Amino acid sequence: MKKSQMEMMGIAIIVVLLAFGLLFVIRFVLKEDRPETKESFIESKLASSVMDTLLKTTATECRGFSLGELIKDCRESIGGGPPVWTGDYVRDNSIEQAGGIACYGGAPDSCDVSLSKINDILNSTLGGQLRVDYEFFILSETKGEPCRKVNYPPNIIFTAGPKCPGTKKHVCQPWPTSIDTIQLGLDICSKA
Amino acid sequence: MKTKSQIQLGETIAIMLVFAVLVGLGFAFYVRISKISLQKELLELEEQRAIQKVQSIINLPELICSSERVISENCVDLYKIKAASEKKIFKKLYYQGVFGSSSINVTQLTPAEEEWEIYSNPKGVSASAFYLPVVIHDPIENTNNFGLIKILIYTK
Repeated sequence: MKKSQMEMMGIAIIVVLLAFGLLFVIRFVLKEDRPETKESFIESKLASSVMDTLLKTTATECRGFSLGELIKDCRESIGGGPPVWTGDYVRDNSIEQAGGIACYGGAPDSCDVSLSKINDILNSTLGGQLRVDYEFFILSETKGEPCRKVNYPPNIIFTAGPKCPGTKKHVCQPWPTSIDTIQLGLDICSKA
Repeated sequence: MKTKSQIQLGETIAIMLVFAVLVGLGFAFYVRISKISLQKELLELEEQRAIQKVQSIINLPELICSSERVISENCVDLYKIKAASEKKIFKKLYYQGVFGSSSINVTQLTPAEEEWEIYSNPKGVSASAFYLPVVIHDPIENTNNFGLIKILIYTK
């Protein structure tokens, strides 16, 4: 073998080695990061099971009605105009309730009982033991995309918890009432 | 005094040495990356096993709510939990195969806070916690209470 042929062989080997190295680097650098199985499972399963459990939970202080039934009654008793409750539980007293379930025998209070109980449960579970940020909301019926908040006309009936600034796992539950089909939404914020 | 052929032999040996060092470094790098990747896969596998355990708990006939052979989803029976906790039914060897190194606690949050330990086998160094909200059904009072199943899964 001539010297020039040997040099060509050497260059070819170097090129092959470099190509292998490049392929190897590309494989590991550009490898798509899969979402953590546990985190992904927790967030998606959590949102749906919290919503499901919440709606089935009995309000023992309200003659055995479930929170789902009380929310339905709340919507039916406040009528068309949606008042706004916040997580701090501030009630708009300018709206009179036109009937509905009276848990304590006096004025109808299905809104007070159900919304404060939801607030308490979410605070102690998601906000307390699990330490995840969340936003729970009830919206009046909107056309188009479900669980979409609109400002004009406002469709937010109730909100609890801080908003998710980044990614989130979302669950939206339509809840039919005699007035409209309200939407119950729960966003579980992804941990950064 | 070295001859020309000796110098050429020295050059070849030096090139072979450099080549061997480069190949060795590349191989070490590959082994390291593969090890990290394998560890990640193992962790993923352990997490999948943990999720399987979580799923099996909420589908155990020993705990779930049923009425006239109809099973309620995402629901556990209050009295089955109490019995499991008091009589330690999950201490049997069979359940150790199902749940492995973990501990399972059920907490009732409404109407009054109560907690039951239904399984405990804390063997391992680190533990990852899973929480699952469930309905705790009281068949006597016919009420549904808000509960949380806490599963601590231990890994070596």
